[in-house]
Amino acid sequence: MYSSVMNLKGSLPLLVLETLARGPSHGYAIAQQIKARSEGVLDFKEGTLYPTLHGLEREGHLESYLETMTGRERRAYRLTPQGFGHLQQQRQSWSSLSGAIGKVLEGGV
Amino acid sequence: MDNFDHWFSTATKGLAQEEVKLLLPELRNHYEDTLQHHLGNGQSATDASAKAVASLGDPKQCNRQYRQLYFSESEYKSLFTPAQQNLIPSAFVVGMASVALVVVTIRLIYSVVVEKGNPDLGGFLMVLTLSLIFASLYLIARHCPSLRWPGPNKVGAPLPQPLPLASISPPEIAALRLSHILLLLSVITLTLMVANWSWGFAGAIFGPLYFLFFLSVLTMFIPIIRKLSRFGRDGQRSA
Repeated sequence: MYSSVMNLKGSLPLLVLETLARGPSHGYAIAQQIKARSEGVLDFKEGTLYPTLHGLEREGHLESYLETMTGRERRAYRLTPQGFGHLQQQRQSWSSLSGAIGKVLEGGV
Repeated sequence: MDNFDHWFSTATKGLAQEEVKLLLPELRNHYEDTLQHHLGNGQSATDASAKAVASLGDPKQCNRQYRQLYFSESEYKSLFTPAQQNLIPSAFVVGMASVALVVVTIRLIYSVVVEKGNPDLGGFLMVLTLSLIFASLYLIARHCPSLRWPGPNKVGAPLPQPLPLASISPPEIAALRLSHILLLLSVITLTLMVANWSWGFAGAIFGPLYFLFFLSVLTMFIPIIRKLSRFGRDGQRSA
């Protein structure tokens, strides 16, 4: 399977936004949800998740807050209204892109 | 030093301490969670720790990515410390130097227009002078929300009104310092260009070279300006 080496660099922000659309979460949980929902196909190096989260926050798509869970203080993230709008746009772009690729592949050899 | 400490020191090598403090709690929590997951699956402490660190990825690759978003030690020192004390002297020196250079530039343009009888070139140089100065200030205002006018205008103006020196925040000071540097640089470049034409040197060759030099230095500043854009109007970092 073409799993653990899959390059997620360009699509990680979309996956993060999609995950957070289901509710606020912190970094570790976001990473686990992406892997679980893709059944392990979408694997990535988790140290690169935080620049993505901070970048999305910088652009106003996310906001963060501190919360205490299991005795530890964690930074959790949630989507902003701007982030929801951006996610809708990204979903549409991704849908048209994957549709176009699908048509090419259906042409086959 | 345990596995995580070693990974973290490599991944954050060269970053400002303030940025490291920001990253440490999140990454340590992430590591601890992964460690607990592997320990819960019955792995030995050594194996669990090694796997938890491996899941974070290559620390050198992470370091390259972190450097694109977070300030390095030298960037942070030059822009943020000492924050409040030397803003006014710095603004005064840069302001006076800029005014002096603008006066020299105008005098040189005058010599092009009147003494050499070339009003077209003089007008062109004047427009270029003003464009460069405003382009430098615009670039800062465009990327630093803390330096925009309040209001719906997304482009913004270079300075808030009035500039609240008593409550000005460190990122605003950093952005002002950067705008000082760019302003001075643009005026120096222009003075060199105009002097070239005015004194009859090979302006056609050296003028564009000075301009290219200015653009290349400006390009070097863009990553720093992008990093500064993490700060909001209230001076708080977004992460």
